Amino acid sequence: MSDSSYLKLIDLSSAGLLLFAIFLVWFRDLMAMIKTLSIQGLMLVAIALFEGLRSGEKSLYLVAFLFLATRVVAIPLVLRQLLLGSVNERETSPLLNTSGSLVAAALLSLLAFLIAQPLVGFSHFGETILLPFPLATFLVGVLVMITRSKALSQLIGFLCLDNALSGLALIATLGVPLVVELGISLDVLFLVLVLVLVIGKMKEKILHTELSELRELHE
Amino acid sequence: MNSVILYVSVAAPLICALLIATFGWRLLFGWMQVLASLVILVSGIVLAFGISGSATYYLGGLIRLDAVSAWMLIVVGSVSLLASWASVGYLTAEDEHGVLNFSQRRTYGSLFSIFVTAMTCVVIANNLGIIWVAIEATTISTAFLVGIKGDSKAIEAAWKYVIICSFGISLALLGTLLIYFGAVSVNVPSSEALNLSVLAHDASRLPVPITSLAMAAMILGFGAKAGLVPFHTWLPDAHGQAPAPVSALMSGVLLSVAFSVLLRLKSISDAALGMSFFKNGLLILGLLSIIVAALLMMGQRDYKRLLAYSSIENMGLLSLGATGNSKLVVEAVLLQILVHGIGKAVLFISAGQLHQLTSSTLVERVTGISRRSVWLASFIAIGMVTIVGLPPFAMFGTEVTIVHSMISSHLVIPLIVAAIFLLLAFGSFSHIGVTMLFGESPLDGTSWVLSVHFVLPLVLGIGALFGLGFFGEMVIPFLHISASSLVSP
Repeated sequence: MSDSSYLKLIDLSSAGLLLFAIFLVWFRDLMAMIKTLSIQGLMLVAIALFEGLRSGEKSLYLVAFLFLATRVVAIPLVLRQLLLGSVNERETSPLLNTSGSLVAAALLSLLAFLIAQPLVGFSHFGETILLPFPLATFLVGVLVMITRSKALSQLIGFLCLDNALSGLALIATLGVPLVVELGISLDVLFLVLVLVLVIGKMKEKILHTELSELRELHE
Repeated sequence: MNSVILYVSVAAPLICALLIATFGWRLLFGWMQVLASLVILVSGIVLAFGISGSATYYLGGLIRLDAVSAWMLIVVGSVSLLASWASVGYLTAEDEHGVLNFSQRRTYGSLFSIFVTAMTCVVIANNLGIIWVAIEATTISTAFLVGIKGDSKAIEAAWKYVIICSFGISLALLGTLLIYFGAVSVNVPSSEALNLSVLAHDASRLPVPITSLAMAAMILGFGAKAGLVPFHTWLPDAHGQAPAPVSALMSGVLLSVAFSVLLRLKSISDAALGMSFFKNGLLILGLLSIIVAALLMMGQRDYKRLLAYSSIENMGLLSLGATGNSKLVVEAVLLQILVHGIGKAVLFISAGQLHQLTSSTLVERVTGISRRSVWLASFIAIGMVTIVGLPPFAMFGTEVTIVHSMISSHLVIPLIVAAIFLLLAFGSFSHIGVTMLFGESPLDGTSWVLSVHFVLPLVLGIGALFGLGFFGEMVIPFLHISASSLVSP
């Protein structure tokens, strides 16, 4: 394939990052959110793979494999464990309703394009023109974290934001050095394990995972 | 030779963590943890003696040894020495009362050592990526330590702690990635573009829009882990719920380890963006932190949360100090990091002993300590006098230096605002302190017997505080070398 067709595929996958983030804003069903997160991870794998094919940088294949193992397979698998036994668990009382959140997501995407304006065009490396996509994904991830009230959906928002950061690194600079990438991925994986255990304990001891109801510690 | 000492100071706590994870916590391993902390402390001192001025790099530039890293090793080593010794006391007592079972003690012991290892890595790393990974590792390792009691409050605190810190630290990652992007785009080789020394060397070439966005994200992000507003809210919950030795370690070193990263970044930002960018960031966050902490300290009912807010206030004050660009004020900031670390460790360890004796963290339940135990009352009194910055302890001198620096850089209005709220905090802190020590006792007057594993580290800590108070000028020449590498020419 030619250089320009790889570029188009990278364009498409970066737009996919944002698209699936917006699906996360839309969905209330937690299982659907986990699946969406997994597909968003697949977009990340695609970006790494196509960047690798385009630039001939061998380490990017390893990064693609790392993302496949953690973001697409392992993390969603761990998250699913939390939903075992409970049928059709849904986000019940988000701070913003669906249409409100979608409007907010659109505004945040616009903001990301504005922030990215001065950054675009600095680098001869990568496709900096695509930078608004991961930045918008980052902001949308923050939106999910802030507006959802279930512990699991907050965690999913955090992971979306994390996917955005990995996407940013790939698009802007063909990724950070491999050792750092490995460290980041391991940290994220452990973090998910820790938080899933904490949510599990929450279910066991506090009998719910509504964060707005966590009020024992306050001033 | 120096590289071997550095590796040993990372390996020592790591070996403890592996042993405890494999065999479970035993008294012998508890003492090995104390020894590992001593190894870090001694390494820091030995390395400090051999330092002339310029930094040396190892592992292809990933690790840096200079006066600042040696000083921070001393901070990590001395506070973790007190905290690990108190941990021996804590775990033996919890074992006798049957509060923590075998697997909980294994978790506590191994994660405690991983926490210390991660902090050691942060202070000797030169690569921003490694620093980020190690700081995130401190969050992961302490999550279970915060939630170890397993009741609903501890779980709530653990959740808030991890999610707020991780969000903050992901802002720092955003900043790290952006500065890497900026450096690579001006042809810094990608294998070195995350090295702080390389970034500092090429700072003037870094593109301004990217660097300013990156620095803003990193001030907020690493600031979250340093306990600065607006992501400070994890601190009181986590400090209130974590076992006392862990709180001592978090308050005494974790906050200042994250803060030392900000000090390193400042010189890069000053060269790339001019002197005012980072200074204004620190000024705003520092002032807000002091204000928020002072307001929340008023009428505080929980003494562990009070100590947590006092740490936020201290980090705010350090930020105000770091706005100055003279060697003198940076020396004061570095010295205050150590003195506050030891002072807070003394207070948290005393608080832990108090909690084990009374099973309460409410001020109203523990009043009249002086009638129950003169020793414990003295430890708390000395710790409090240190933390509020009264003589003869060294924080008096460092705080005067910070005030002087603010006046000479014409920050008079921020100084007045800070002074008002610092006085307010001083008032609340001393009022609660006096009530706890000399108030009417709610219980009968039987005197307390203190555990020897709490008393000895407390005596050691207080000895160090007096030592630094009376002979603090002996470390000044060394701090002078440290400050030179942090101050922009």
